[in-house]
Amino acid sequence: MKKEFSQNTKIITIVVSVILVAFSLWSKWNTDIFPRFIREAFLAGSLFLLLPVILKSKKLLASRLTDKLKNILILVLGLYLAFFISAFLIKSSPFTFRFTQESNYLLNVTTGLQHFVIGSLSYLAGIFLIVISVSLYQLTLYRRKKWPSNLLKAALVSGSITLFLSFIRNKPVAVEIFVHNGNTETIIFYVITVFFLFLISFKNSWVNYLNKRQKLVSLLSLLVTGPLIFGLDFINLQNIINSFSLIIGGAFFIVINFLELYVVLAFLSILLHLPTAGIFDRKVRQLGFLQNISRKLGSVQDKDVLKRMIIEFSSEIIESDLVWYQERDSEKNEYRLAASSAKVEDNTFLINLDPGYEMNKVISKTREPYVLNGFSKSTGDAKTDKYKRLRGSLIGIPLVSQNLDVMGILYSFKGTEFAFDNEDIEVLKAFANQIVTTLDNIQLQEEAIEKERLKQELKVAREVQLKLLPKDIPALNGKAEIDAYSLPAHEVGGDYYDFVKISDHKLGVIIGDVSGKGTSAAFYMAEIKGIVQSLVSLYDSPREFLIQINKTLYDNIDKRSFITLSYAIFDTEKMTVRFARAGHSPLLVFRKNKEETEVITNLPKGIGLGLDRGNLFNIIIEEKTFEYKSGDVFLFYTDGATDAFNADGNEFSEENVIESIKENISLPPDLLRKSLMTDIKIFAKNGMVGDDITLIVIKIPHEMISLVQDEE
Amino acid sequence: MNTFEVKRRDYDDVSVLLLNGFLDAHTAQIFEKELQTLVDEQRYKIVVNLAELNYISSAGLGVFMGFIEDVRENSGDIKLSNLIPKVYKVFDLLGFPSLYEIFDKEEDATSKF
Repeated sequence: MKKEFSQNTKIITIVVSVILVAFSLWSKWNTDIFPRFIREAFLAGSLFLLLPVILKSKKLLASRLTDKLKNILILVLGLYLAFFISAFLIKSSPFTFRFTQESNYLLNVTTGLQHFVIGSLSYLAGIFLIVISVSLYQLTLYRRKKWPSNLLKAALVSGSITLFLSFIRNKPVAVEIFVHNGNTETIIFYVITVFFLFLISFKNSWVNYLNKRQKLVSLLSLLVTGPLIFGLDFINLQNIINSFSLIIGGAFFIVINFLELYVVLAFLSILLHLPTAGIFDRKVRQLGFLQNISRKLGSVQDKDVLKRMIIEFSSEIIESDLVWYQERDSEKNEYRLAASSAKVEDNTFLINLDPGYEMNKVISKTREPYVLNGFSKSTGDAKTDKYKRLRGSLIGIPLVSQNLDVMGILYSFKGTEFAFDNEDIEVLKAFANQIVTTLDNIQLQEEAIEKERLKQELKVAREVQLKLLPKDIPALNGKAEIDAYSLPAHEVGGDYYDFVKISDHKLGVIIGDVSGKGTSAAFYMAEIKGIVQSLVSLYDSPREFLIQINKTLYDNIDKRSFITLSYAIFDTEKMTVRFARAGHSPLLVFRKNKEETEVITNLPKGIGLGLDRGNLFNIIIEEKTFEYKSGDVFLFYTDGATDAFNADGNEFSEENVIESIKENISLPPDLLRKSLMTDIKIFAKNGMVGDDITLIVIKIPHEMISLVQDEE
Repeated sequence: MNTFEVKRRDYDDVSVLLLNGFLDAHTAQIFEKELQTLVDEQRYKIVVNLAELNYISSAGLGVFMGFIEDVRENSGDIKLSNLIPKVYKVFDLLGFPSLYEIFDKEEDATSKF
């Protein structure tokens, strides 16, 4: 429970303490007015009140270790100063040796000034005691929370009893108690107190947390403070205090003993820790590095940056002369020097170090670190016949991913033998794990970014594509009913269709299929539309038109890609169709006779666009012209319709397309198309929708008496 | 996933690739790799036996187109044999018989070199 001290409370406390102090000081002047115990009570009371104020004061109770030691030294010096001034003022011999002192501890105090001086000195000593004790105790508790511990409680209890006994017997707690009789109880409790204090003095684990420099500084300050503290045995200080108050005097004695014990043990402890100070520092630094590194690695997103960091950090973390990283190409199962701290010329040094890269092979197989903790290799230059012996230690740490794949090996070389200990290996392993995690993260990030990029790409391509397909079908004054439909297999399709109004009575119908899928197909589709749009008005003949398209397209298409295209020009006046086909699916014409429906498969010769520059294409391509009648149904389709697979691996095939249309021949084009699509979908229910499906259905309605005058 | 694999047999300076399974956009690269190997080895007299090929898509057809120019420029050729009717239809629709020599039997193709 913390006690919050407001300003007012502090002021009141100090005022009351001062009053008590004044009383106790004054009471001495009239030795008979106040009995001893009241004076001691005022003393104790004032010090007790001041205790929390002292404890809260940051300046007196320093937080840093070396500052604490410094403060103790300053306090001791201050005490010496106060003492010498006082000794001069009361004309007392300052020096004495406690261990030879007889029982005449009481000084000859007569004047008021003398009283005041020894009283003040005693008070100063009292405050000094409190601060010292608390500082010392904080040292013992360094990095531990338990306050107060059982040992402290025990020491306080037995110490209090000792002081109480001393007060009752009116005999000071000093060396004398061992000399004179009648002090047995006091001696017993004093010894018990010292015993507990001795145990407390062993708690100097704060020594471990000092770095080398701090250890030396502490050693030095203890070397100075120690003799000073022991020097307190040689001055008359305690006698002066005892003349004023036995309790403060006794407490002083006990605390000084505690201080002596503690200083000696701390000094020895630091001395014994000095040889290992360097190692401790190194470990602390390594730990700091690892924490720092994991933070920095976490933000790395570039493999090259990572490789440089690997070298940088490895050099720091285990103080090596040379560090290099061999990256493994998992496809070729080869190693390649990816980064190193050495200059490029020193690569021959690395090669000499491990000719044939045997270590790579061993480490790849075992997936464990490989340590050569001391080797001596002759590196020879045969020409000059000079031989150098290469001495040192070499360590290789594999970077192993989660699926036990070796991603690379980190090598570290030091020019002295037995340079790497087990901790170094452990630290490097920890570091290697972090690198692997970072590499994995980078990989995942790259994949995620790629995936997102593709998604976006497809989205854009789809939007573009939708814009390229015709929005409306040109009206032909009721001379033909047309339905057009396209179902892409994926986000982006490769099918293409278009309508061109050549004149009032002439309509061009184009249907095509770009090889491949995805964005590249979409781009070719856009290209083809562009070429078509620019050429269609120039050519009456579908055959000529396709020849031109092929000529233009061939130079602008990848050699592995091609486009199939059919072009039909409907002349609704003459009721003829001119038709040419470049590698595309046939044009089906359905004619309903009285009994049955006839199917004509129009398959004029023609190879796909983009396969040949023109030599073969132009020779092969044919054009066909035929008449049509009212009631005829035309079906243009892409091979997605016939190629649809079912779960048994059978295709829908042209036969089924024909069957479906025949069955529904009486329906208008849109319903005809829908029923065909339904048939396909049912067929391919559990199979693949592998390709885009495009259907154009054109129905020639039966002649109607037209109210509009026709041109003859 | 549809399976596809390529087997290779060499007779003197003619190599025969036997395709098996489904040749589509996913498996096309396997076929492509085999042809690339032959070209790298400068073996330009190639017969592709399609007896075990069940299906070919435009991506598969594109693989042939990707190599034919280079092969023919080096006085070689890619000849096809043993097409099943379903597969032949696909080739025919596109006009491949005008671009490539297609035979019923592998021996007819190899002997043509």
